[in-house]
Amino acid sequence: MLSNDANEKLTEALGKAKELGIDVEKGGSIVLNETMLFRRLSEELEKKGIIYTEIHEAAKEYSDIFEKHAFMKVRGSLKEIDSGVFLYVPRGVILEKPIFNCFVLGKRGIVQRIYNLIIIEDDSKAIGLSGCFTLVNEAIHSSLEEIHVGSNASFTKVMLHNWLPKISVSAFTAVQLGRGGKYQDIYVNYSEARSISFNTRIYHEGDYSASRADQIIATSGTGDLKYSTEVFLSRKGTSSQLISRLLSRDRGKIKSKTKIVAEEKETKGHIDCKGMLLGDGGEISTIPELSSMSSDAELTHEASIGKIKKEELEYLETKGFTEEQAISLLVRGFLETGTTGLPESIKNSIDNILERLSRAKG
Amino acid sequence: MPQKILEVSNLTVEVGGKIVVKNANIEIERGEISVLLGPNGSGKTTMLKAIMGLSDYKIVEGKILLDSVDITSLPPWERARMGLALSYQNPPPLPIKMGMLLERISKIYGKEVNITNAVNQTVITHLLERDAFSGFSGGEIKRSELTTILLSKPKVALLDEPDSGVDVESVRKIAKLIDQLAEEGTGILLVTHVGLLARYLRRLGKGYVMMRGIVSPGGDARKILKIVLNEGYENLYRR
Repeated sequence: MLSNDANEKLTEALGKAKELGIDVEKGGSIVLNETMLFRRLSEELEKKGIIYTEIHEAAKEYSDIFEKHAFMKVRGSLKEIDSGVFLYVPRGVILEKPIFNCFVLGKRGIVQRIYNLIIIEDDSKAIGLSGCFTLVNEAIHSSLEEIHVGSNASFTKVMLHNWLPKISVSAFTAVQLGRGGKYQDIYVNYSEARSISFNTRIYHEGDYSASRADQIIATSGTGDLKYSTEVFLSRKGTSSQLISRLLSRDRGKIKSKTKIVAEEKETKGHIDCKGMLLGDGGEISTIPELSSMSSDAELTHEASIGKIKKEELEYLETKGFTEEQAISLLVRGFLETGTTGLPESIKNSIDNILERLSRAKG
Repeated sequence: MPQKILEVSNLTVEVGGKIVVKNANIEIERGEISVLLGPNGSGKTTMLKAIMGLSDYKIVEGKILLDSVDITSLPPWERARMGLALSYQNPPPLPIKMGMLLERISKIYGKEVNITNAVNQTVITHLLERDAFSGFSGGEIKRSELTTILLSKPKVALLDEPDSGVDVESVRKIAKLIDQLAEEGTGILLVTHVGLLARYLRRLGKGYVMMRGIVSPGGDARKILKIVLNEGYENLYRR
């Protein structure tokens, strides 16, 4: 039984999540502060053997699966964790609809410590959409996440960060890919968080596995955001693409490090990192790094940072756009990374956020 | 009865402190294609950009009337919304998908404009998912620019060398589109310096020749074209 205060906060969180296109009531959960307050999975999915539960509960009830996969690629223990999500998709199960997760800060001064464990067994497919946001200012969100994608399995993870100016965030995600496994990561930050430190490591441990990570990061105010993504192409025929779009308004600072290490034959990697500065006091740093230990690996990168060009603005003005509309359109185009294959509802959510981001004034 | 839709009177334009267009007078009629001929560097593009209101092209003297309304001091986007359109010779590559650009343009000019029809006419469907004007061939650039014009359904279209860098077959297609625009009532000022495109146009009206910043009085476009193609610009200028 929830207290009145928790109930009110939950209602508020559900409403805000829906606004962002995260409909947990269709299948998903909400972790508010240290506790999972809401969880729903359709009977149909339960019958297919999908396990979707709170992380501590999973450690007790599904200890064999938990112990086999937990804390393999990230350091830590459950003792240091408040809550988190455990998702297990058994072999050969295809999940067409996304599972929604929300991590919400609802108490001033709180430190929310999350650990998520996602296991997609061989020949399975799933999509997860996570929204991290806050109902209060001055709090900390700290999360660890491990994702195991089996042979010929596929997982798409979409994460939306929407924080307030006095929120600090620290996150670490590790992904392990089996033979022919596919992983797609789409991350959008559209908040004024005080600081974000987000590290991702993708380990290609099965031949011919493929990954793609799109980061769309926008900051305003005085945010200080640091991202680091490292990919290890450790098996034959593996490939990865890292795509970043960094947008700083006002005095926001963004630092993005991306690295692909090719350790085996027939590997391919590409880094595409673009930054746009819309304010005078902002700062963007991009550090693409390629490292190869194989003579036939193909690694490439392109990186650029700039501002909106006068000729682009004037061109659009001659087509009937006001200056403000022209800037929005150019920002909107800049933020597009060309992601394909997402369910319509998720695509629409991301499009709506990018639209909002492009209209925001610096 | 011909109806004047654009009147440019005594236009003098300065670019970077230098006078590039001197006391130019041009009149465009509804549904008619006027041609502005001239060698490279004579000031043709400068005049079009000044008429469109681009900030680097300073009008130091003269007046521009669009459908009898003085637009001389209006910003480009207002001129565009009042019915003036410019097709660039070399539009800048944009970080926007061509399809998104066309969709947004059509939103400005109303729902009755059909994007599918326009892109089918100009044969640019294959470009919609690509960044606008980035890595496009000469013909693709011209056809894409013309699509933006079709979507805005302008009263007057200023077309800056829509035939340059385009193969002969594409020139015919472009001529057809321009004729169609004119048939629908748009007054057209077509800039070209070779005149090949003009040979295919059916609704050709007046012709102007621009040399060293000075525009000749308007005459019969076909006659002027003939002289230019046979004798060159210098001889015409001496006349």
